[in-house]
Amino acid sequence: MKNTLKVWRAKKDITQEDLANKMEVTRQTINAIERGKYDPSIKLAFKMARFFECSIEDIFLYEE
Amino acid sequence: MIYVQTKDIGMLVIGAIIALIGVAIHILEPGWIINPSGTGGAFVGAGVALIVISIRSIRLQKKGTVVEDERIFHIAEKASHKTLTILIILEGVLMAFFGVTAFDIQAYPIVSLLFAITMLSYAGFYYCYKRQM
Repeated sequence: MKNTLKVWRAKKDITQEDLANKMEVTRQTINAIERGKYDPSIKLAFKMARFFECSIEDIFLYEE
Repeated sequence: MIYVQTKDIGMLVIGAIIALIGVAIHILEPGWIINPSGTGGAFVGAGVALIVISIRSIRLQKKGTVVEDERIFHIAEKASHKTLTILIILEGVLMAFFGVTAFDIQAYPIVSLLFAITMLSYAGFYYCYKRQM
C-alpha cells in the first residue's frame, strides 16, 4: 500500500516524533508507514485522516 | 496511566520475589531440587530481567514515550506464530522418536532444550520481523 504521509506531515510541519505522540504510537511505526514497510490498522488510518483533516484515501492508496 | 503504573509496580514486586526465591534456593540448596545452583540462577536471572524491564518501562512512560503499539504487537504476533509452529513440529518429532525407540531420557534436559529453542526462536523471529516492518 502506497501513502503520502510524508507529504501530509511536511504540510503540517510536524516531525515523526510529534506525529507519533499524537497518534499514540512509536516513532518507528510512523517511519515504517512512511517507508511503506508497515500498513497501519483501520483505527490508526482514521486517526491520521482526522488529524490531517482529509480522507483516508488522500493519505493511503491501495494497489492490487 | 494509573493502571500501567500499577502493572509495572506489580511486575517490580514479582521480579523481586522471584529473585529472592532464586537466592534462597541457591543458599539453602533444598534436597528436593535436582540442580539447586542452576535453578537458583535461573530464578535470579528471570527476577532481575523482570525488574530491569519494569524500570525501563516506568522511565519511558515518565518521559511520555510510547513503549508498545500496534506494530510491536503485530511483530510479536508473527514471531509467536512462527515459534509455535517450530515448537509443534519439534515436539511432534521428539514424541514420535521417543515413542518408537522407547528411549529413556530425563525430562529436565528436554524441557531445558525446548525452553532454549523457544527463547532463541522467538527472539530471532522478533528481530527479523522488526527489521522487515
